[in-house]
Amino acid sequence: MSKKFVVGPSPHIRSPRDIDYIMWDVVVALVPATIASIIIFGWASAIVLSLSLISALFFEWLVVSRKPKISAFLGDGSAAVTGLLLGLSLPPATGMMASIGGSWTLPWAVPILGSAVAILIGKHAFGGLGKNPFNPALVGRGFLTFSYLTLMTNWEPTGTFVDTTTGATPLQGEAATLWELFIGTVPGSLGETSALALIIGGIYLLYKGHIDWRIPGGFLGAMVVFSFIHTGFAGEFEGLVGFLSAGLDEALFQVLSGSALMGAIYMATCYVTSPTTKNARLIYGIGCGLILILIRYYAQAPAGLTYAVLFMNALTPILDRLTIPRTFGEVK
Amino acid sequence: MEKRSFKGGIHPLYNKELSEKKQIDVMDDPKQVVIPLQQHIGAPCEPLVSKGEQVITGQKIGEAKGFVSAPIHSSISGEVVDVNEERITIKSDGDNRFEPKEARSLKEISSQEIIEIAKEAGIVGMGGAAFPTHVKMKAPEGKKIDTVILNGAECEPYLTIDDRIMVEQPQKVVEGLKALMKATGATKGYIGIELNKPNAIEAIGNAIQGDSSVELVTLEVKYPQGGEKQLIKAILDKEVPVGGLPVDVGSVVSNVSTAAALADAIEEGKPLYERGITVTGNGIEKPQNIIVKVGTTFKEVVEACGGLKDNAAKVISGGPMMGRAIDSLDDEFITKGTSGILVLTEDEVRLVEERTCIRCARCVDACPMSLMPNYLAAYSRKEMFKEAEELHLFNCIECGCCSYMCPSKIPLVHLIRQGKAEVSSKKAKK
Ligand code: SF4
Ligand code: SF4
Repeated sequence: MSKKFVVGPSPHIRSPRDIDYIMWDVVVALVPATIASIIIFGWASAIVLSLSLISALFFEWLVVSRKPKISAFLGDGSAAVTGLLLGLSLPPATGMMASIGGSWTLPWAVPILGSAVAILIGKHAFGGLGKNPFNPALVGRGFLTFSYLTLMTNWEPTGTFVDTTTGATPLQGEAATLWELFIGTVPGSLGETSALALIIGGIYLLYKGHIDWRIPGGFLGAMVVFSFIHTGFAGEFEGLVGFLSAGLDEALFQVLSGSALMGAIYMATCYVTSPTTKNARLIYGIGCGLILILIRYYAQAPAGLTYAVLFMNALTPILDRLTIPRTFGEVK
Repeated sequence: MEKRSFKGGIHPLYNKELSEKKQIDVMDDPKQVVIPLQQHIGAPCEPLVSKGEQVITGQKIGEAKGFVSAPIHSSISGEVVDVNEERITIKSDGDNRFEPKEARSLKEISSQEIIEIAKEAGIVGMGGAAFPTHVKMKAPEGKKIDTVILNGAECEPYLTIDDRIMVEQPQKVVEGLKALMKATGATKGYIGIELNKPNAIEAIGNAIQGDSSVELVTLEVKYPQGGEKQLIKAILDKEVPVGGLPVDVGSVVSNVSTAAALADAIEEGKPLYERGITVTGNGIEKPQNIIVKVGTTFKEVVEACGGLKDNAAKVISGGPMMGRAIDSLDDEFITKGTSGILVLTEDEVRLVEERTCIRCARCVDACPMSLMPNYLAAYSRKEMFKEAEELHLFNCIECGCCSYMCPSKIPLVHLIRQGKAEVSSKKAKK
């Protein structure tokens, strides 16, 4: 008798990279920012990140596994990405009770509440992974900003190990050198102050092919170009050389400060909520960067990145539809 | 070295090392062959022999009926024991008697004669599709062929037979190319080889020395570099129009093994009744390259290569990207289009559960035809065929890059293929 074999459609080999592999690799790429955050902000950071990460995993686990098995707690990695991103985008004050005048419960509940909103409303209300139109971490962040505006803009560098002398972020007008911005010893959100750590993670993601340069490239490119335009209109420089150096200073400042890099590398590149055609990805990236810098210059809203990315998320389906590529051999 | 390429494509694990260094062996004659009357494309042949008749190796036993068809020949000498609509069964007499047809020299024959020889010898494309070569050589009314491209890319993972043919018989490959050029009236010939085949590059390079009408082009190692349209794009930088054929850009593409077979037909008077294949995979005892007679059962070929390992789980006729999974070794026979037998193990074929699309765009970036496999598959699944056709459903070459890359393991090319089939059958009904 002859042996019967497995049959099925071609191709008969598949890439070993499945969803879990990719998502956990994104978590790996966030490790430098996590470490930087703990070095710079101390225990406040460790507490906030653990709370947001574990609660995100917990809510995902509740929804996804019908009969919750402990082994399934870590899930496919997508909730871990959301929880970690959310935690890294919160101000250090959310981890320290002292920072809001002695209230014990509220600040610690903040990361948990944020994760609940991110996972339950941002993701599963729309049908779960792959179906959500908006980046869940930003939905969570947006919710917290609206609900706890003072807390969410309290940049008191509580519990820091490294000396950051002022409570205002560089974007709020305090001077910080480009070097300080680069390594991250300035006030700001837990995981967003160290440009260096974010860039290391970004290079890793590009190298592994998990993100396309078009989104961060368009995002940061738009910010750089607009920084130069803005400098030009401000007119406080002498000659071409003066313009170039003033413009460069401004561009570097804009890119390195606040949540620009976090947004460009990790938030805007979220697969589910960004477009799938190459051209649309570039346009989408540019759109995010442009909206962010326009808000910074002209609107002074505290959550520029959240608005910018969520707005472009909404445009994603349209962008895809308008940019269907010319197929091979097609004469357009 | 120069590496020409095309946009899109993937870098799967090649696994060529299992067999790439193995010299081509010749398999002992099987006791019996079962020769299918229809070998993949075109109309089936009309049998020329009847039960009880004695035949010799290379004797024509089936005549081509339709235009897009090629005759078939006996691959052994012996007695015809069965003839039905589908196949002719011949029992070997063990002599393997062969009387070659008249051998010719390429210099002294006309282009018409080359086409005639190719037709009589039953030469078809040996890369997989088995399209009759004599049909390809005639340009349709109003079109002109100026370039012949030989596909030596062998971009399917695991397969190494074309590589070995180029290494071991470079002269034949080049002769075959010259014959194709003469028959089509082309003035320029190219042989495209991927950079992972340095020995083939060297051998072919030596064989074409001093001949300015033929050029060796080294190609980036990328799947599907050997796809007709991708090869033309890489070598000539021309795009075959949507729905068109290579001849629309003045070229003909043929496989290196086909060229060698054509050279054999001209210079040795030998019809196409045997071919080299790669028998490989982690599920086979002795992976190798081997010449087998058309009509041999897969079972005998596998046995000649040491047999299956205990963990063998899936057998594929052809390569892993575009080949066909078969369910039994007994009633599957080597045809002119069989390029390999690949045996995968249990570990390699573990079933994976399909998940939802996470819109990662890996399929979009991989598609060598610049399509949107994510949308095409979703539309096909939801039977939204109008939308799928607007996104050029029929320009898909079914290379499988999209399915390979998808982290959610969505069977994209399968869904697209089903979509195409449904649309075609709807159109046929109208
Ligand atoms: S199978 Fe079709 S859709 Fe998928 S990558 Fe190949 S050409 Fe593109
Ligand atoms: S590769 Fe798979 S998951 Fe990614 S966009 Fe394509 S279909 Fe969706």
